[in-house]
Amino acid sequence: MLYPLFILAALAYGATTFLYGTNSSTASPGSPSSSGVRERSRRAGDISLAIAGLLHTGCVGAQCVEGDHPFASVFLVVSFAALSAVLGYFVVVVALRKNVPSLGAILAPVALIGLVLGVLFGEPASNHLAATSLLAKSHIGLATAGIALLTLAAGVAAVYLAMERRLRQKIFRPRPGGISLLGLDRMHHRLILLVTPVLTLALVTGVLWILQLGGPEMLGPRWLELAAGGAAWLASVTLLVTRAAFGMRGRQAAGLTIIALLSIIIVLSFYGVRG
Amino acid sequence: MSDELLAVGLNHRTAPVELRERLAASGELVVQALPDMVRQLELREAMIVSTCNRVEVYAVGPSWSRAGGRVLDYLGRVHRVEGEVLRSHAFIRGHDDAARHIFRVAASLESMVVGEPQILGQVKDAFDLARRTGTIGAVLDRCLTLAFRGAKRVRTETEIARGAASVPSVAVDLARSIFGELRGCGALLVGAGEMAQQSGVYLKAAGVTELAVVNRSQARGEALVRELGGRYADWGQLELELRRADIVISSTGASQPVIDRPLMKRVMRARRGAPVFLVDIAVPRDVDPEVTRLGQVFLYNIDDLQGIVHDNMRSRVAEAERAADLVEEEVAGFVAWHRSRAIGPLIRELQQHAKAIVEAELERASGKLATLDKTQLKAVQRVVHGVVQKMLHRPMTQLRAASSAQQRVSYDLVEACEVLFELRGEQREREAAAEEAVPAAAGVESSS
Repeated sequence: MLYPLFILAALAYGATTFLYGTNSSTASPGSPSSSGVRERSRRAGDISLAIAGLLHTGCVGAQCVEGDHPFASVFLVVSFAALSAVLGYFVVVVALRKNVPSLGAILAPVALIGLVLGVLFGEPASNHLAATSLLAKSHIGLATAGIALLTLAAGVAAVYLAMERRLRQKIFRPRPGGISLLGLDRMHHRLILLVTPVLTLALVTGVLWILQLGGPEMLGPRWLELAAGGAAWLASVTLLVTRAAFGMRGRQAAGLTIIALLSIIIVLSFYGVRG
Repeated sequence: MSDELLAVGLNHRTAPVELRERLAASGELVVQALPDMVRQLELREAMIVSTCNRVEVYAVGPSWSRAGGRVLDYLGRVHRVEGEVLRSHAFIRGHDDAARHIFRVAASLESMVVGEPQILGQVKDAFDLARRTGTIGAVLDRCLTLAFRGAKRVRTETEIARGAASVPSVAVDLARSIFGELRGCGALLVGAGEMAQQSGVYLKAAGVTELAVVNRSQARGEALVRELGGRYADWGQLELELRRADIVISSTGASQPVIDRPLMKRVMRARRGAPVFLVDIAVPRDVDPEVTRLGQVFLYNIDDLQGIVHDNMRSRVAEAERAADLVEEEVAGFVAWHRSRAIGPLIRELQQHAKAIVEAELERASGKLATLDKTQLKAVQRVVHGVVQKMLHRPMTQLRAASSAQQRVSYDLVEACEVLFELRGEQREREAAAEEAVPAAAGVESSS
C-alpha cells in the first residue's frame, strides 16, 4: 500500500511544482497573459498540493501500520515535518484569505524531498537513541512541530526576500489580489511567534531527556548537532527580541530565519548520516 | 424607409483638441439638440456621445452615407464650425462598420488609453440621456445593449484594464504592493505642484487617511491642503513628517536633492524598521539614490514609474487583440439581428404584394372565367398562384441567403426589391413601430 501511495504523492508534488511554476512564468512583466490563466494555474496548484498532502498523509499512515511511526527515525520526522508545513500553508492561506502561490511553489519540492527521505530511509535504525519515554516522545513531537513551523516561516521569508529584491531592482510589477510585502513580514513574524516557544519547549525536553539518559557525558560527538539546534533556537529568539527592541524586520529578519532553518537541516543531516 | 445604422463624428484620432472642444456638448445641449436633429434630418433614432476625446453621433435612418453628411452639417451649424473643416476631420461609418465602431468605443478599444474604464460610463450616460429624450428606438437599443454586454465581457475576460496607465496610479499600485491596504497609512507630499496634486487625488481615492503636505511656499501648500484635505507643515518640519509617513511623493523644483541619505538614516532609525516608500517624480531628482542602501527604503523615480506604465500599456495593446475578437462576436450577434430585421418583413411584403396582384388579376378576369365550374376555377387559381410562387422562389431564397451574408449585399437587395416591385415599406414600418414600442416600455431594464 505504501509504494503506490508514495508514487502518487510524489507525482502530485511534481505536478504542483509544475503548476505553480506555470503561474509564475505567466507573471512576467509586460506579458500579455490573462489573469484567468494565472488564476486557474494557481487554483490547480493549490488543489494539486492538497491532493499531494492527502497522499503524503496516506504514506505516513501506511508507515505507521508497518510500525514506523513519524517519530521513529529522523527521516520519518523530516517527512512528517514537511507534511505539517504543507498543512500549515493551507492554514495560512485560509486564515489570511490571501493567495501566496510562491510559498506553495517553495513548499512542494521541500515536501517531496521530505517524502522521499521518509520512504527510502524511514526504517528505524537499530542504534538510534531509545525514544520510549514520555520525555523523549515530547521532545521529538515538539521538535517536529518546530521544524514544520520553521520550514513554513522560512518559506515565507524566501518569498519576502524574492519580492523585496524585485522591488529594489524595479522589476516588480504590481498585481491585484497578491499579498503585500508588509503582509508577508507580518505573516513571518506570527509564525516566528509560534516557532520560538515550540523550539524552546523542544530544547528543554531535549536537555531533560539527555539528563535522563546519563548527562552530557553520553553526548560524545553529538555536540555539533546540539550547537546547530541551539543556533536555530537562538536565531528564532533573536528575531523576536530584536524586533521588539530595535524594530529589526524585513530582509535581515528573513535572512536570519533561513539561517535558523539551515541549522535545523544540519541537525537533521547529522541524525540522518548517523542513522 | 430602411433602418441603416450610422456612426459619425470626430475623435482624438481624427481631430485636434481645438476642434473637439468646439463641438463638445453638455447634457443640456444634447437634450435640446437630439429631438431637433432627429426631426430636421428625418432620422429614426439618434444619440450623441460627447467626451473630451470624442463627439460622435450614433443614428438610424435612411441611407447612412447621406444622413452622415447631413449630421455633420447640422453639427457645424449648431457649433458654428465650417462644414469643410468638419468634414476633413470627421469619419462616417455605416452598417456593420458603424456597429463595430460603437461596440469598440464602449469596450474602450478606441480610447486614447486603451482599456480605460470611464468611456463605458460615458456611453451609458449618453444612451440614458437619449432614451429620456425619446430618440432611442429598437435598433440603437439593441445595438447599445449588446455593446455594453461586449464591454463587460472584455473587462472580465481579458486583462485589458489591468495595470495602471499613469505615473500617480502606478505609484499607488506599488504602495499597495508594499503596504497592502492603504487605509491607515500615512502619506506625505513634498512639493505642491500639479504632480503632487494628482498623486494626492489617487492616494485619497486609495484610502490614505493621513495626508500631509510640506512645501516651501506656504500659500501653495495650504491651497493644496484645502483641495485634498489633510494638513500643511512648514519646510522645517520635513524630517518630522518623514518619520510619520509610509508613502512619500516628492515633486519639488529644487535643483539639489532635498532628501539625502543622512536625513533618511535618522528617519529610519526613528521609524524602528517600518518600511517607507519614496516616490521621486521630480526632475532634477529630489531624493538621493544613495538612500536605497538603507534597509526598508524603497525608492522609485519618474523613469522607473514610466517604465511600468510603458509595460502596462504594451500589455494592454496585446490584450486589445483578444478583446477585439470578443467584440466581433457581439457585433456578429447584432448584425445578424439587424439583417433579419430588414429581410423578414420585406419577404412578407413581397408575398403580400404578389398575392394582391394575383387576386386582382383573377378578379379582373372573373367575367371570362364565369363559364368554368368550381373545380376548373380552383385549378386555374392554383396554377396562377403556383406560377407566381415559383417566380418569387428564387428572389426570396436569395434574400434569405443574403441575411446571413455580407450586410452590404442584403441592403442592396432590399433597395433593389423596393425599386423592382415598387414596395413602399409600409408593412416594415408598421412592424418596426410595433417593435420600438417594446423597448420604449422595457428599455430601462434591458440596458441598465
